[in-house]
Amino acid sequence: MPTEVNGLIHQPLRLKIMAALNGLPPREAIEFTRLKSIVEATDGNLGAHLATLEQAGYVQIEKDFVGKKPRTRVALTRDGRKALVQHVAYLRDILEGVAPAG
Amino acid sequence: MPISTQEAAEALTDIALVQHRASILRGYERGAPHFVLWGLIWMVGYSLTDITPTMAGPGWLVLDVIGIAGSYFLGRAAAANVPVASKNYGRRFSAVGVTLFAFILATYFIMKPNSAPQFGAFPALLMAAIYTLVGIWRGVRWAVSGVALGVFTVAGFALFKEHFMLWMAAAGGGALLLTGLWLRRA
Repeated sequence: MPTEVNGLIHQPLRLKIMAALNGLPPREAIEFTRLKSIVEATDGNLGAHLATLEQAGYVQIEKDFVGKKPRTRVALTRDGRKALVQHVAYLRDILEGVAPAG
Repeated sequence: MPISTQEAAEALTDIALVQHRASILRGYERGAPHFVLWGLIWMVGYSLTDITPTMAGPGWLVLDVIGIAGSYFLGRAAAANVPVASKNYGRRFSAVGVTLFAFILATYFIMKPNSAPQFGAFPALLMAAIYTLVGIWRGVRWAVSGVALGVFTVAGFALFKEHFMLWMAAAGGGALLLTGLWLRRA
């Protein structure tokens, strides 16, 4: 189990993004607009944080067209799911006094 | 970067809230096209029952087959980009339709309703109860739809018995159709 916080995930909006994606079945993608309404973010803010998570290998972003309409879909990668599980375990350890709190 | 116990608790609460919200919205998204489909079927079916009562039985049979097949294809379309484990959505949706159809026929056989409004009201009340029960656990919009459908059905049965089928075409079918559009916008 990790003994220190994963700063990349712990940022509030990124944590919400990861949590929302983690609620989907493995490998299922969600549309950008739907994700935006779940985490209650603006287009720009969500896009920037998704790019950070993509660079870390935690999410996969796919862009395609449905007819003539552009579509962006986001899915959690296996590494992303693992990182979130570890982060949640770390948070629980803090609450239970197993990991040191700040 | 150390985290306090309060921060950890807040983060875990955020995670739980977001996952709950994601799950609710996913249910709305999946349910919406089925509400639209069945709203249209109810509009046609109840209107047909009012216009040609003798054709109501075969008419509803054909419409229900169309609805169940439609639900199958909508479920399959929703699962098109979903992993293998979830790809039986289409079959599940059509199985739900077949189960409800069988339950309604079995209830008619046992309870023997003796008027057209009773025949017409029962499926609507059944669906109203189901949507309300789903809504108690899976999102308030389902419950609002269920309560509205139940109220419309009972009100129509009490107040507009002579034109109950037309009432149900407009109020019942309309309620389902509008619910579908409402869920899609969530």
